[in-house]
Amino acid sequence: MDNNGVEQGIEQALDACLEKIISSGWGVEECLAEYPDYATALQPLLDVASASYKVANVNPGENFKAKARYEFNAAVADMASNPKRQWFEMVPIWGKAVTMMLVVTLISGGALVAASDSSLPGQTLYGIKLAAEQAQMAFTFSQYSKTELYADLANKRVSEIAILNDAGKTEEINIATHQMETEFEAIVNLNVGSVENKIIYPPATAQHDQIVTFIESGDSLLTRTPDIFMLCSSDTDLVCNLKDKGMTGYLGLVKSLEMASPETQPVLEEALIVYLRSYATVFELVGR
Amino acid sequence: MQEERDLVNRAKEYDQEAFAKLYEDNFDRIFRYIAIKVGNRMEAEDLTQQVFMKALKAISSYKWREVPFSAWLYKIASNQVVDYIRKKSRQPETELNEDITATDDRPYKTAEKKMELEELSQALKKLTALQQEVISLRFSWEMPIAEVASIMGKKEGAIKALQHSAIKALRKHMVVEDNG
Repeated sequence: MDNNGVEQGIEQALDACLEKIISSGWGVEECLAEYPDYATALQPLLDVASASYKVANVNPGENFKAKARYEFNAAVADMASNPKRQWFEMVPIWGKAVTMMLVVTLISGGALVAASDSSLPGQTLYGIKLAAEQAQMAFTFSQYSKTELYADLANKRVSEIAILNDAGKTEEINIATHQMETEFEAIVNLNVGSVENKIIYPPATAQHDQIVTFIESGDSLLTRTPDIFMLCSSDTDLVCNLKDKGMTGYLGLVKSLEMASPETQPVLEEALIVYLRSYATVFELVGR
Repeated sequence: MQEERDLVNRAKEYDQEAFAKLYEDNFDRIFRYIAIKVGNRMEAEDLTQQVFMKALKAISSYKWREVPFSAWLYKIASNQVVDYIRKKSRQPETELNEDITATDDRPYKTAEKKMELEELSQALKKLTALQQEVISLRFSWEMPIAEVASIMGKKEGAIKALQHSAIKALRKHMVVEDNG
């Protein structure tokens, strides 16, 4: 047999062996026994190939798979409810309006949108800030990501409340609290009926009573972790993320409350109650 | 093949059950294909998810061409990896790459050594583009030679020759690293 013939023979034997390793779980030794004429040439190649195949046979993490499957199913359901739409058509009418407004704003000066980012309730640019957030939401497609973004926006309101508290602006704190409640309502609307086998958390009314008791006790709330934010081993990634965000917002509000003046204290207590009650409702829907 | 064609047709109508089946059938192998290319599990997870989101958005324009549906997903995954590598090449070195460099100093005993995903990915990058593709499709996607040939637009004999040269090159790079 000439060199070409030998090379071709090795190629054929190598491929046949790889097929057996991949599809039938053969070991290198079994292959070498099958092709004794080429064993010397095959062995180093099969050693490398077999080791490489074992390394390449890696699987994604189960937690990640569960999260990815959840997001994908949500995206399919979203498309199923409106199959014809393309990217711009996927944005609801209010989203189109917001997007168009942003385009116009950007053409007339993008600095306006950037400047609005630090604006607060009661200020002229606050409306643009909220519109920019809605535009961001319009370009967030999965139920999972939207839920997380709304939770982030609720925490943005918490940051605004902290600044307003320092300035003693009670009416504006109420506006931010109302906006925060709107963000939570959006989460609830997104997740109604989405997950089965949920753990039933204490009802929202119980959370309300619990926090009022906390506040009336006069103890520092910074040392407390509300039941709803305590992690458990069966939490999904979404619930874990929401609990992290919820705890961050809770601590932000509690710090504001501890520095509140007699004028702002009642509205901050109300903001804290709204925050916890809303999260309790959210976890009744997405918790499991 | 007809069964898969029916599934794809139902998926084009956004049938959740059909999509779920296509998703489960293909998810792990797409992940493996990407993981071996990028050498990082977490990056591979993100990219795999993006592949399916892109497939969902593009499914309405999918046309059946008597090749497995996975071939279409492979194209999306392949483009996704190319985009990723292009973007990555413009970024500064990450901690991960520093770790990979560190492991390169260890003595290499080819198959006897416990190889890591990152190390295999680095070794693959020293192969030609065609050799890399054959190894990725055979080892991570577990694609038969005939299917690899169909996807790469080559004859089966040519793919077997590429596979042979790829494994020889892989071994050579490993031995060179061992000696170096």
